[in-house]
This record gives sequence, C-alpha cells and structure tokens, in this order.
Amino acid sequence: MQGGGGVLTGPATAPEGGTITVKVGANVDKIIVSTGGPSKYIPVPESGEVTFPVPAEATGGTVVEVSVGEGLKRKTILIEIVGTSA
Amino acid sequence: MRLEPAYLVAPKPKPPSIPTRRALLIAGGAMLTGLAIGGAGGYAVSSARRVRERDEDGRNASTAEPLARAEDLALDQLRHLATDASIGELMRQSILILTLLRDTYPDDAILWHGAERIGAELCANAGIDNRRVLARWLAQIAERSDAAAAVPVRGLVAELRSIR
Repeated sequence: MQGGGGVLTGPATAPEGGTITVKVGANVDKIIVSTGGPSKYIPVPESGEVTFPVPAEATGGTVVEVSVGEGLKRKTILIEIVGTSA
Repeated sequence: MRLEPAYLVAPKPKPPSIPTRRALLIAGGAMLTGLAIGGAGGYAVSSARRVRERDEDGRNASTAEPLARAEDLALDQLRHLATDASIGELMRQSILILTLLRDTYPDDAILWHGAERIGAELCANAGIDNRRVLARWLAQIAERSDAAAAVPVRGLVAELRSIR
C-alpha cells in the first residue's frame, strides 16, 4: 500500500484487466484517474473505499495515476499495472 | 530762524524672497523628477538584463514575464518550482507538478520546462525513490500530450522508458 498524504491510500501495483481499490479520507467526493491523458472522475461512496476497473488501455508496464483534491492540495498515487501474460 | 530740510535715507528695499523660494522649489522638483526617471530607467534596464540572463542560461524565454503574474497563485507557485527551485526541491514536488501539468495546465510552457528538468534528473540520477514508475508516468504524459512545449520531454521518452 502507498499513501498520498493520508488522504488517499492504494496499492503500488494492480493486475492488467483487474480492479483497483483505493481508500480516501473524509470529505472527498471523487477520485481522479488517468493514464497520462484526460482525467476520468469516479464518485466516492460513503464508505470512502472506491473500487474501479483498471483502464482498458493500461497494459502491463503502464502507470495509472489516482488523485484527490484540488490545486496545490492535490494528492496523487501512482499504480503500476502488471501484465498477466507469461 | 532758518529751518534746514532734513533728508532721511530710506533703507534700501529688500528684494522679495519669493523668487528664491520658487527657485528652491523648482530645483527640488527637478531633482525628484530626475530621481524618478532615473530609478524607473534603472529598474527597466535591470529587468531586461535579468530576462536576457535567463535566456542565456538556456531557460525558456517565456519564463520571465509570466512569473510576474499572480492571478492564479497555484500556477505561479508551480512555475517558480519549475524554474527557480533547486533540483532536490523540484523532485520532492515532482508528482504534484506533473499531476497538475497533465490535468490543469496542459499547455503551460513553463511547467513543461519543469517536466523536462524532472526528466533529465530521472535519467541522470539512479538514486531517486520510485524512479522507474515516475519515469514511465512522465513518458506517458509527454506521449499523450499534443502541446508544442512538450516536444523536449518527448525527446526523453525512449531514455525514460529504458530505466529499470
């Protein structure tokens, strides 16, 4: 697990084609996901735990950026996607 | 008895002092005006020299003017990090800078200059924490950007992707 200032925690790696689960602090209503291009916004449920599928374009070796917050208070974690092919 | 006329010599009238005061005021005003013009001119020359020195250092020619703007304080701070911070401070803030470059300021030439500094450090310094993941992420951001200012970072992509 890795943390982004205590406001965002998630795994360091995730399997290609799998899912990613991150936990966010109170008062965070969405997470922002990107593989380097445009952002995708995912709402946060009351539990503060968000599970979402690894983006389809994220093959093995791709890095997925997950962040919360705005401006200089933005917190980010980087999750490396691990390929499933042998 | 004969009366002799008595002539009293009136004191010579003093010249009015107003011209002297006016002269002092005029001289003082001229000095202040000179100082103001000289000061402004000196500041302009100094600013121009600073911009020229930045350019000669190989920094982005567009850095000097926008750094003075403050309508977006977050952008202003990020730009200072990108151009003026030590490489150590820049690397400590690299994830924040790259996140906001990708998401909020994708065409900002000054932040791309900071990204180029980050990329060069990632290529040169094997001791950076999380180096490989950070290098791949920067490569992805550069590859997926269509900003003209991203071109120098795209030139580092092959080297960034080769980091193990």
